[in-house]
Amino acid sequence: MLSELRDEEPAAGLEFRYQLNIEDAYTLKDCGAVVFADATAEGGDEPALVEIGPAAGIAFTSHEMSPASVLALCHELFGRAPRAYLLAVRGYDWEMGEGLSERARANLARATKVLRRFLKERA
Amino acid sequence: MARKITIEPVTRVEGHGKVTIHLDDAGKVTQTRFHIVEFRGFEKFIQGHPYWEVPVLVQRLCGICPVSHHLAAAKAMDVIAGVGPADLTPTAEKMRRLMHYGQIFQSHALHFFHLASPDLLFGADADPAIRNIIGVALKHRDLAVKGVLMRKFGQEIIKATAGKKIHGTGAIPGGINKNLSPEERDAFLKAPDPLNADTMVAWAQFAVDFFKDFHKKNTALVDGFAAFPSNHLSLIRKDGALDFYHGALRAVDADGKKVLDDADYQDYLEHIGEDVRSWSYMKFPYLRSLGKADGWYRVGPLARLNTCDFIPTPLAQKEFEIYKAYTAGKPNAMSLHTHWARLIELLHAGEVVRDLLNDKDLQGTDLVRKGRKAYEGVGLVEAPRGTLFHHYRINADDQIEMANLIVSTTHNNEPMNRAVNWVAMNVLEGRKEITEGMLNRVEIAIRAYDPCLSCATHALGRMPLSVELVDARGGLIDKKER
Repeated sequence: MLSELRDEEPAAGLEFRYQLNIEDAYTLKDCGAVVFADATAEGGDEPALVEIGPAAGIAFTSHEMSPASVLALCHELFGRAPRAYLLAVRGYDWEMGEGLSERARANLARATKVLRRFLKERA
Repeated sequence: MARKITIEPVTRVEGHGKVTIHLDDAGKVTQTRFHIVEFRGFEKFIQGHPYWEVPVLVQRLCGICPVSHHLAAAKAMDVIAGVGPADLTPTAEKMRRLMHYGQIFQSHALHFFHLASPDLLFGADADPAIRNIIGVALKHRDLAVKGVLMRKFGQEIIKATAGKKIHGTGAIPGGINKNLSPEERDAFLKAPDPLNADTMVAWAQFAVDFFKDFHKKNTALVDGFAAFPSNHLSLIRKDGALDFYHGALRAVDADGKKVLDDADYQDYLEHIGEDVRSWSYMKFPYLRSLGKADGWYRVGPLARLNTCDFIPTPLAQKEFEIYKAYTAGKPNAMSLHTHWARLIELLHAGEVVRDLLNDKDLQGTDLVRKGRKAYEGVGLVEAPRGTLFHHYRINADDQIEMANLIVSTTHNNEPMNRAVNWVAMNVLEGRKEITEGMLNRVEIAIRAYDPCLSCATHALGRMPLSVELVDARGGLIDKKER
């Protein structure tokens, strides 16, 4: 998704994260809007942008930090948090080394279209 | 009535575990266990892969300390590639050191500010809703900003040396695949405040001073909580200096007597045994010379400052002298002093990063050496949480045939179990009501060791920790999960 959109929207800050962590609050502090895109094992096949806000709940481990927690930390540390959206891409096959299933690949293509439209509207 | 307490998940530790506390009918503690309840078998997954892929593959064990696995594996593959530690080019060794000390810096900052400081700032009995980094941000914004930016600085060092902040590719068998350009160097040395090397050292000193002040105000808690004697193990530089990247093995007993010294880690199997117990997937390592019952030991910041003779940077050495004077030079057995030791190491890592950035060898172009291939190799580093062992054997087709990993959290298995037992005996025993604050003290004891259960079990996915309270007949009385 990122490699596809990077060339099309060079002005957008498109970044990959293995996992979110506390320093991402610093990354977000000057953003106008942010989209968190990730795979999900739940929900339907049609990806949509869902607006989210800061939430103080925090996981027990730094291995897991939710987008809402990063937004909350950003707000508390820097006095503001950007508008934020979640873009969940439904996946089906989570075994090691299998790559994307056909349905997940189709969902990823749909999600890329959704994100492309969002970026063009904000450009 | 007899009871059993379960804490699941233990919060603000890296991974997934379970604590069970068994009480008899009189409320006396009869058994405590810190269980690791997941298994992943990473050593099996990598069998059949060519050896040069291992430094990149194996770091997928963890998203917090991948650099440790990357470098321990690379050091083992150096041996297999026929390149000894002294044979690496200066650029290769110093780039690896910069990567590693950058990682120590970010990991120690993350642990202290994100995981540990809420307990210190708000107390064990505070509302769990504020006992986290966002609570710290609300009440102590300046401290939280420092924590976030120190973590970011360390991650940027890793990116500059390994190519990526998480799961980079910098170290390869026999060397490194890039140097540090003058532009990359200047981004750390000349960046406007606060994200430059000098400010990071100053902030690390601030963190040490913060803890010393907390200690002064809370001496009984910091000195008494989960304090128990043990042996201690770490890598040590040949001259006795603290060294996170390379050295020989040294172990001291509770009185400071060296029970293992200047031991080549290629021969670690002669010195370290691994016991197994039916109730945990995590092994229990021990010093063979002392046997299974008495040979268990601590690793990590507390152990490292107990085994080393000095710290080879001035600010950290000054703090080390204060720290050592507190126990009159004897090994420190106080679990919460691990935070103090960790912050002195944070300061040392900051100083080393700053000094390395000023070393022109990092702009060298001689990156890789080759030698005569061997079929077996061991690589060790001092990871943020303690000594990390990687041992591999390959076949004639260069494929991994055998792998054995002993991670820091595994070394600390017995000490963490002892720490849980201490809390059960000293905080929970005989109490009619088990409060959330009491259970948090169990977690505080575990958290001091900064365990990474994902590394220890090589597990993936959601990794909570629970505490269970069980009666004398095995019935579950209470269970806390987060």
